[in-house]
Amino acid sequence: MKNLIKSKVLNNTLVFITSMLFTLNTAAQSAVFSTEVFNNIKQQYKGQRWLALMWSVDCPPCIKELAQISKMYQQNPSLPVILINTDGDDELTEERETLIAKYQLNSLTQFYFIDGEAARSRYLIDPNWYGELPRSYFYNANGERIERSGLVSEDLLKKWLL
Amino acid sequence: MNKLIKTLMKQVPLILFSVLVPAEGLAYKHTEKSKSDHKANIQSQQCAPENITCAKTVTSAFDPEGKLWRLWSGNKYLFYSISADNGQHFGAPVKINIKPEKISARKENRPKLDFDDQGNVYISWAKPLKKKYTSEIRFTYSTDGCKHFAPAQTVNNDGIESGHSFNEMLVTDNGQVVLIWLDGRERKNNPNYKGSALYTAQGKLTDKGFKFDNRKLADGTCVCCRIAMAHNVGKNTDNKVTAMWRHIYDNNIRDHAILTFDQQNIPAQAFRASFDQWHLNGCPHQGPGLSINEQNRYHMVWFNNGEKGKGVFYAYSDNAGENKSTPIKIGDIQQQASYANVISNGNIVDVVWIQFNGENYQLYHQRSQDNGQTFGQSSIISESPLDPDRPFLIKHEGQNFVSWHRPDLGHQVIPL
Repeated sequence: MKNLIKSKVLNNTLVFITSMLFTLNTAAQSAVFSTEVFNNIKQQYKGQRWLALMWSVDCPPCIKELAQISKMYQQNPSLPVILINTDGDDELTEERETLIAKYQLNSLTQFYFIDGEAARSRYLIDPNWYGELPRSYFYNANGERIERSGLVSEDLLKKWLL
Repeated sequence: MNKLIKTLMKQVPLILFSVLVPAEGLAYKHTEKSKSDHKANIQSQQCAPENITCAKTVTSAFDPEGKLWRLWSGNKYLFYSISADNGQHFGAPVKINIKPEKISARKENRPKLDFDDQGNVYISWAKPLKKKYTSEIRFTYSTDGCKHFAPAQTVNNDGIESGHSFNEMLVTDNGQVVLIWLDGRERKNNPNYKGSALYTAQGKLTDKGFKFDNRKLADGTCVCCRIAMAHNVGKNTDNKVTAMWRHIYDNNIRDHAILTFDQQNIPAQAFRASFDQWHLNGCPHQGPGLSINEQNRYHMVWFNNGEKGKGVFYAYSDNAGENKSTPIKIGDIQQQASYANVISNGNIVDVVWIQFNGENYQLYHQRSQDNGQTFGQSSIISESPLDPDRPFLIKHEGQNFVSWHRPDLGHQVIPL
């Protein structure tokens, strides 16, 4: 049991440190979501428009939105978008990574909800969001946001991000 | 090799970062908030497939003798265990001895279990296929007290690699096995087809097993919410069955529909069951709940986040859903009230749902003693620090129970 606890602590250490590195804008792989890293991202993007997109492997419209983002990202590598996967299930890691790789979004800043804590993480982002997907948060230069549930049109994405 | 690269990728940031920040302190800061109290989560590292604690979903049902069965999946197998004391104690897990295959068992998708009055056991599930969002509805049964199960068979008969999921199954009083599911076959030939279709397959046990025909019940359903199904058990209801599901109305309005259908092929009319005007081109991931009593009163619960209705609602109908009572609001939407289920037992109507108070998930219960006219105070009957499964209501004779699984913590059966 002691070894298991050590292993769990080490594992959490690794995922947390990896996630902190994102806030330094250096890493290029998905990291665990926390309020701290999200606040850091908000600070990092202050002064410009950006989008936080919530998605799940169980949500077909989310995949359509990932495809739209991918298209824009290939043309504009500095696209101000972060992805947050909301599954909160370690068994889905491979599926999540496969989809991200398929749409060539590996280098985009992205996070995932920790296993077993999907609703908690959702609540930290927005207590008035009930889990419907895709969920988009459009942030303006002042850090104010407008939320939108459902697939967002390509026109709106372009208007906000480009 | 891929694993090695992934491990290295994880280690490199650790090495880089360890010179900047004391890693241990940060790690504890994070774990304190999220997992320090969740000792049981450590169990997830030692999960055997038959360990119900590690399952994502559990399905419970009473057999004709009053024994309580629970069903779950692990590592491509189905397992069950049986309780003779209403869920206080369960026997050892038993593996259902059929060929292993993928089984959809998370969130809105889960295997189903029911019995006929002879005690024959019927099980169905959705089997994911290779292509994303494609699956088949699968079925097996046992007629010899679970010594043997029939080889699993596919229920949908289109042979198309498409979505067939969110299966529901029940056995009517006259022994008809009724399956329903959401079916994506229409999209294969019509890319403009909106949503999925509701299909049914039905049959009775014969010496040659089951051969399922498929019948379409409705077009244009939402694609990612569970369906609710209930048996019309009242007199003169001809063993009909009723389905309630999230439908796509007009321009992506995700409200609910309800349809009572028979065992033959007589067309039936679906009625709109909710009018909350939730405009969403996306996935709510929350299906409704339905229970029908001996007087053929339909008790319905659902979640919406629409212009005209936000939260969990309860309503009843005495004419198959054509007219409804004024919906009653259930729970506190400020605390994320969701995943409601309902059951009727004489004049008693029990509703359960989950809320999240910022720290823990709480299982709520509220009871009506007057057939759904009014409800008493709600109360918290259980909690979970980790993402729980949906709660489901079951009954045996005069007693209602809630079956609630909390992955990493365990399965509970709570008498109401």
